[in-house]
Amino acid sequence: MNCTEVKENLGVFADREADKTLKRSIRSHLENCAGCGDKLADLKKISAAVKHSAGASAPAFLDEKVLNAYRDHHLKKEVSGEIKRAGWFGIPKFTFAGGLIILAIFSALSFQLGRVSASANETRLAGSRGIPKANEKTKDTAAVKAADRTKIVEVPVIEEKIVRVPVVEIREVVKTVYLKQEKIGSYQQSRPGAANKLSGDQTARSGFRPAGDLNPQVVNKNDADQEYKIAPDLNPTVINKGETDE
Amino acid sequence: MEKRLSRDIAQHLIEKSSKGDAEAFSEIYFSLKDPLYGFAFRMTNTVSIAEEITQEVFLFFIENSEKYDAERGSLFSFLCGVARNKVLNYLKKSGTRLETNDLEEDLFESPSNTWGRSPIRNLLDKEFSGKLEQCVQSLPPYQKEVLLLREIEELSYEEIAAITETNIGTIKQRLYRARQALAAGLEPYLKTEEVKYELHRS
Repeated sequence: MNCTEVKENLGVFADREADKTLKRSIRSHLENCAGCGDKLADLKKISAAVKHSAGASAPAFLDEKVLNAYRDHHLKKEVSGEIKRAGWFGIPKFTFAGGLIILAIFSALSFQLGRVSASANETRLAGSRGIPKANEKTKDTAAVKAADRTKIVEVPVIEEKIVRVPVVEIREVVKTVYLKQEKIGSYQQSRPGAANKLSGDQTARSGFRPAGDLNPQVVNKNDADQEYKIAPDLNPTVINKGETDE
Repeated sequence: MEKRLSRDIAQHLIEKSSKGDAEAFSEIYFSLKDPLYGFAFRMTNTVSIAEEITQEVFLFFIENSEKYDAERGSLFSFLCGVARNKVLNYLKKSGTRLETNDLEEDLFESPSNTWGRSPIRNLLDKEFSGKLEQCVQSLPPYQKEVLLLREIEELSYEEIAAITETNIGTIKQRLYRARQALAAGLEPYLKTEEVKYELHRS
């Protein structure tokens, strides 16, 4: 390999792009040729100078322009539906959110159904104990009414509890409360029949009004001292404390 | 720089970026913007054109990132090819001849007159840097792009051939001519020991 051939390939050699044969030939030539050695040194110096002169930096305002262009581009793609945004657990966010909403609706419905079912069971159990069902207008109700006219029932009070009570039962309870109030009145006034003179304000506060066919019985003083028994066929349930206090 | 990242990582970032991951895109952008801008600036020697080209390259990438094929080369090579096309379009429009050296006479002008006064002072005054820049800018675009991609971006001949859509033989030839031109233009400086020392340190 002569000097001309070596000089033509010095760049390739310096760039480490020469194959093994070319490398070997140039190396052997450089060992014996100072002129080509100088050319190689100059070549390396020029390369170093060019590298050293590099250092142009893109201006900062370009960053904002390009990054905004990227955001705008992907925003358009999202709007057009080309991109489904990744969400949680690999599910797109909108799908995930929709799933959560549906789940919440089903949970609420299940809860409500559970309450309805529990209420139905309660009513069924109450019915098995002899309490008429709320929506049931049967001859049993009439029988209860008729039987109740001669019985006095004490209502046990449990604080701060409201229990769904069949309409017929409420009427019986009202009557019972009415009787107890009259009893108290009879203690104070010692005059029978005061129950019939209960003022309109009192009945309005109680929120109940005795039915016409369920006129309360007048209880005398002696009756008030008695231990009242719960009628087996009525089985009274709990009412609001406030109502009984009045 | 991106070329120090593996192609796999670049591919991974591109996939994330195409799905709207702004951080992945930022990583790509900040690793490539300076070399691309530097290439465009050195090729056109105009700041505003270099900025415009750099921006256009990234806009192209945003809309066409799926066109990148990691099997064919690095992401920088891909985007540099885009930048190169835009540079050549600009040069053609501005009337620059791509093959020949219009400033050949100036390139070989001897700097001995200025050098003789005080080499070290001139070096400190960046005369050498200025002359080097002048020599580089005087190269024909086809030679200059190959030189810049090789010396500054340190791309392989194969990558340069892919970017310039030529073969390796052509790359070797253009690179040889570019270096010959630089060596001729900078010869007086290269003979000075101080310059040699400075270049060695750099």
